[in-house]
Amino acid sequence: MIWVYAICDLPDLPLPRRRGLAQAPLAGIPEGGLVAVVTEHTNPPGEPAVDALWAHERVVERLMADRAVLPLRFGTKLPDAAAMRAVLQARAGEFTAMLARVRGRVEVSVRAIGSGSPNGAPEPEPAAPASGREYLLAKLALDQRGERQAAALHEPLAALAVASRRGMPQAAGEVLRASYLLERADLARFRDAVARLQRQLPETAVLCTGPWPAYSFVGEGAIA
Amino acid sequence: MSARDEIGRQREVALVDLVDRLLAGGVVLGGDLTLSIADVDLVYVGLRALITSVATAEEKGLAIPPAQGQPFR
Repeated sequence: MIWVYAICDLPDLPLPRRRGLAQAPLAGIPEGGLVAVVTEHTNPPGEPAVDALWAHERVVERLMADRAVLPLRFGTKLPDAAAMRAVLQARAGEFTAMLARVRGRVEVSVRAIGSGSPNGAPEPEPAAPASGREYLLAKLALDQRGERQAAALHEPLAALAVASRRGMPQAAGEVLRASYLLERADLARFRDAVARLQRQLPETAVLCTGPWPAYSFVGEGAIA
Repeated sequence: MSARDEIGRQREVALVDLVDRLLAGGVVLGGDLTLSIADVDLVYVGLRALITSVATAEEKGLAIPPAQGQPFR
């Protein structure tokens, strides 16, 4: 069984010595202008333990240091090298186009949590709703306020990015969860913009992590 | 919040973002994915708790200041 980390360009470039899951050495399966980076296992990990997630991530990040990389979703396994080569052959055009899209670029995550109003003034506490209609109107107003906050953050950041994707908030209080695909050279400028927005929205926690491999820009429909 | 707490918090946030990307992003080969939907749901239950804890810290005035310079991990 092989565990797949990434599909890369430059199949002739030697692989890094970094080890993958269970300290297995990396191996390359080249096909055409592409190479899949894998490790071999008799019993691959069956659950997303935190150590395994970071091990997978570190391999992809190390590869990203000197080549264009399509990160694979965690948990991708194939029976053998022949199956891997068949996939690389069948989807060569798609993978080559996606590599061109992410080459020289990185992904940054921005998550905003909190309920501060855009000018920092405290919001009045809503009175208890007297009716279902009032409750719905109050909820609608809250949703619209959240969306205004999200847009106030997202739009200036998206303007600095090659592409952006917004996800559904995962928890109460989360107003924005988004990924931005940036030219690597624009990272510092993007960080400055995040810091500026954080100062404008003092009651909102703006959480920015990265640079990540372009996980959010290589999946289903990423080319469209 | 001490500098050490702050770094710990940043690591937690990075972990949420990591899980988000590795389990929901990336190229899917249509091969044998290790994770069942149930596994992923379990991870997300943990994630929601973590995000809520960050939100709670925010309400208590423990807002995470933006990292200076490079993006943090």
